[in-house]
Amino acid sequence: MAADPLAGDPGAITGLSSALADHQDDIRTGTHHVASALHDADGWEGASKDRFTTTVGTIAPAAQRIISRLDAAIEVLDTYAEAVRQIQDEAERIQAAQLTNAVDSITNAVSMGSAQSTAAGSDATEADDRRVDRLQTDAGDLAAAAKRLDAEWDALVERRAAADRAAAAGLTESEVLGVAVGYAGTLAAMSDADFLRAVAGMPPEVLAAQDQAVADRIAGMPPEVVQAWWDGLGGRGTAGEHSAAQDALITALPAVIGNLNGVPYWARDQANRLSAQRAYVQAAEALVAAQETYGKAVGRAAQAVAQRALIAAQERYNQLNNFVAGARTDLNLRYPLPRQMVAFRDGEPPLGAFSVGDLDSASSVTFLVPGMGSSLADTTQYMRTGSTVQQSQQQMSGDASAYVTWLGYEAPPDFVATGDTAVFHEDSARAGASTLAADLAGVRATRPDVQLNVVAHSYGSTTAAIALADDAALRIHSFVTLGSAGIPSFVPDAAATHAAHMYAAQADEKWGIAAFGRTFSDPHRADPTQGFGATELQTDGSKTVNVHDLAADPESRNVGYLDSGTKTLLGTAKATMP
Amino acid sequence: MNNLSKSLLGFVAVVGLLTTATACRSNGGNEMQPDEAKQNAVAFLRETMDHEPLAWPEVPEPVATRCADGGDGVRFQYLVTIDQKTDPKELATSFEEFWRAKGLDVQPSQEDFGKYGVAYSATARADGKPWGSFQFSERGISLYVDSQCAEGSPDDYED
Repeated sequence: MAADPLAGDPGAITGLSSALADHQDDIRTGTHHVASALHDADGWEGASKDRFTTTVGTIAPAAQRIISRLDAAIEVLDTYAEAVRQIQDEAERIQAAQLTNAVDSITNAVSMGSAQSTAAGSDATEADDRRVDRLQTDAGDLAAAAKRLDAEWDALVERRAAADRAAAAGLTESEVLGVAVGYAGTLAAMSDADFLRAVAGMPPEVLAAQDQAVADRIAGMPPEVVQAWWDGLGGRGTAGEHSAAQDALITALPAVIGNLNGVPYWARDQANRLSAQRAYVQAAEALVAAQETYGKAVGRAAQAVAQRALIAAQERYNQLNNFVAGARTDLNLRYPLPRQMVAFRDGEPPLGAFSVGDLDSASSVTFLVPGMGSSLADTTQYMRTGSTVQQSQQQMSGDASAYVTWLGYEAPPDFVATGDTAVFHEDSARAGASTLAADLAGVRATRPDVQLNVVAHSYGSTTAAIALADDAALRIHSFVTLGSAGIPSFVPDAAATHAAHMYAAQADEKWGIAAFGRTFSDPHRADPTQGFGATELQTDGSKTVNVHDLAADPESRNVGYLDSGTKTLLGTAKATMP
Repeated sequence: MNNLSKSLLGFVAVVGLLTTATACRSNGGNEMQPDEAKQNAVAFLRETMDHEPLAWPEVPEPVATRCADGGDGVRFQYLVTIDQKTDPKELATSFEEFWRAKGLDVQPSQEDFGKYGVAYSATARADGKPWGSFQFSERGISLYVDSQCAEGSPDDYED
């Protein structure tokens, strides 16, 4: 399609350029404010300050890169606006000349007809013949002028097309986009090694703008490849000291880096906190919106729809609120331990894992896998339960296993509270087992010699048994089940879990929750305390543990499996001692 | 409806009623306020610490936690620790007798941690009173007191 030399509004193009210049000013102001915030935070110390300082350090260079790209875009737009203006002026001149030429040609043709008629008459004179000749000459001149004007128009059309091409090319050059045109497409054709090198070389804002396929490809890399790649970007690093390339990856791709096996846990922690905080803010906003919608709903049907949406928004908010609270919730530890957000997968429901203890340096790591009814809304509760075991260990040896509250699967609903019978089936356990195995493999990949344990409660033991049976390479040291909802028949005995040691506790629970779950399981699941080959953790009948819960109600004389002072707490602490 | 479904529904109904009844008894329609629960717990903790003249620290700030897994309400758990060599067996006997004398149901336990020695622990429960529990070893002491269940939620205490 031919370009139209008169198309477009040079003023509007100049206006766009001015708007970009205004954006530059905003970016400069924002960068200044961030730098000032760092300056004002003199009294703030610790890992989070280090993280903030590191992040602020990346903002000024990133802002300067964006300003430079806007400069390039502004120059392209200004050049284009001037070219369009000149072409439009020239087009108007040519069109005016063509119009004049056309009028003159018509006038000439009319005069020619009249002159030829007169010259053909019986009373014609020589003057009449000369007039015809002159008019013919004029007609020839007008035709030549028309041809010249057409040629000028064609040239102008080409000039406009060239200006359009120059503007389009200028706006898609690497100086503007920060990445070569078609670069994202070429990533797909690269080898894994070249792909990872290319990704690591991208500034954060360019990395963040890449196609989802880039994130998916990174997420699918084997842990050993990821580990070698990460280390090549500046070593393992720490929360306080790491390379700019590593920081760029955390900042630009938090959802990928946060769950990427092979990446050190300090980096996963920082990435997951970014992702979880964003999800939490969005959930809070969604809750407010749902409340407003419910308040304005008119009619029974609309109110019912709005109420369901509000309940769902409240549930999601509660889950994310409690998960992010894991970073600051109070714990009764003898000696304080660092915390790491080990995993965060934002979905419906959101899933994740939070560690009390440093997974990059702890000599022992224990995954606590809860059972039915658990969700991220229970994060801090299970962290407190795990910390009771850790406190017991600290008292005995001064050291504690890092306890990971693993809420990485969609646990079946509490059937007592909901009547939902999913807990009697294996679907949830099978789905959760693959994620649990992957998360355990992540620890094993980065910490080949660490002591790795699993403590599983209720239906969590069903999930964990499948995960452990499927992957002998996890090399689990201790597998502890508390009030197991049963082990699937394809895991016939303790040896099939591949754990070096398996322990199982089963109290005389009020209402026999665990026993009921096993009895009515379909397909049938076995009690790991009965001829399974596991070492039984004593509960002294119902004397020390008498309910299914890990933590019991203080108003009763109930005692849960991991309440302080219990035999099962001591047994679990001993089984998972570093 | 098959037998399994009937059994499950029956179980859910019975346990649901029992747990609701327990919750009602716990709350009693007259829920304890957090400050009262803390005061009762601190009084019990001080009383317990006064039983043995050890190098007790100041009463710490409690950790807010749920009354039970998945349940409503909040309780406050106080932990005091001492790192010093002790005779854990003797101490355990002494505190068990003290709590029993106060009407608490005491259930002792012990576990041999091999090179780290033997841990002696116990839970002490009574209706309508704060809890006690301990773990004693050659390395030191951990003494827990859990308050009664109070109105509110642990979420109210997350900064």
